Amino acid sequence: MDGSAIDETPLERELIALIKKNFEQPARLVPSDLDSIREIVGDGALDYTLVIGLFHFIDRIADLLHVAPEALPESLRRFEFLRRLTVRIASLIMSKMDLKNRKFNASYEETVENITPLFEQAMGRKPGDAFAPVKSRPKLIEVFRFILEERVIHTSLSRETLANIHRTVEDALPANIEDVQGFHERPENPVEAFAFVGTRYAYRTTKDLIDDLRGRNYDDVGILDLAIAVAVANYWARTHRLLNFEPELFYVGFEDLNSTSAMS
Amino acid sequence: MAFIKTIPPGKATGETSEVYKSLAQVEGHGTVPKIVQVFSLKPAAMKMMIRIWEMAMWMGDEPRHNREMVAAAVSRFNECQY
Repeated sequence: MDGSAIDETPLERELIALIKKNFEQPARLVPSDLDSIREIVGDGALDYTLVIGLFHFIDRIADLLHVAPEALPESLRRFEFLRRLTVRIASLIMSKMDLKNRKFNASYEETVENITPLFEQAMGRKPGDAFAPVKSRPKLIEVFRFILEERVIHTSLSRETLANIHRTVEDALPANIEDVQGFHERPENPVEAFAFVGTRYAYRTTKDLIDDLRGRNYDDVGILDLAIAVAVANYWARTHRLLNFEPELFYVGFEDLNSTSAMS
Repeated sequence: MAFIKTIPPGKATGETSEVYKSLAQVEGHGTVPKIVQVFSLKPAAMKMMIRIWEMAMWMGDEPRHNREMVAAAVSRFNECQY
């Protein structure tokens, strides 16, 4: 993980460096952070940004909502036999999966056309060349359509709450290692505290945080929507920086964000 | 146990049940990961998550093992036990 394995490939070394920056200093991500990976795999670098972003999303959902691990409980992992058995079972299950038939064959033009009605509803304008940075990977536009659809159509959260979450995530976004490892004063507002912890160190989420949200009349669906909003905002915070998207394509009330230091 | 209610596959109805069934077709088995079940109160979000996962981990030319390595490294940095 520190990039010092003797048998690592150049691609693995560069990927780990990118992953590390996504963790420690996402506020300082810039498009040129992809340059060294592009030199090796071309626009395959864009595929890796999606994997990184997706797992920042998934990890936050898992930790904010306390999803139990599928794998062996930590206390049993010291037993080699059980570990090997678990890996074999997981491998067997994975081997039955064949998603190669799940193609995404839409072109850039078709994907932009597909997102246009939703984009106009959200932004009040046509996409234009907003997605040009990922022209070679239309699936990234499709992913954006999914998260925008969740924000515009499916969420139960108010526009004000979404704006508050987006602002909190941007302001809390780590700029150095101390931001993700230290102890920091949390916002008093329960929603902001949830977004702050979910951005800095989601694994520290406690039931008390959830109880505070319930005290503000958030039910199970509301808490799920809050977790989705925090997790998606963390995906977007990294993605818009790396892929040179306009931040306001997804953020609500972005014009009110005053975290200029985080955006630099 | 998750902080919110989840609907297991055996008790799912309606749209949630349909999403579980479509996932089983994709996966080739009926096991629904807990990270999918946690979205069960919102089937639309569950579909979104499954589809994004497909696109991230299966679609494209980059080798699957590299993507799994990236996923594992991200989770390791995040200290996510899941």
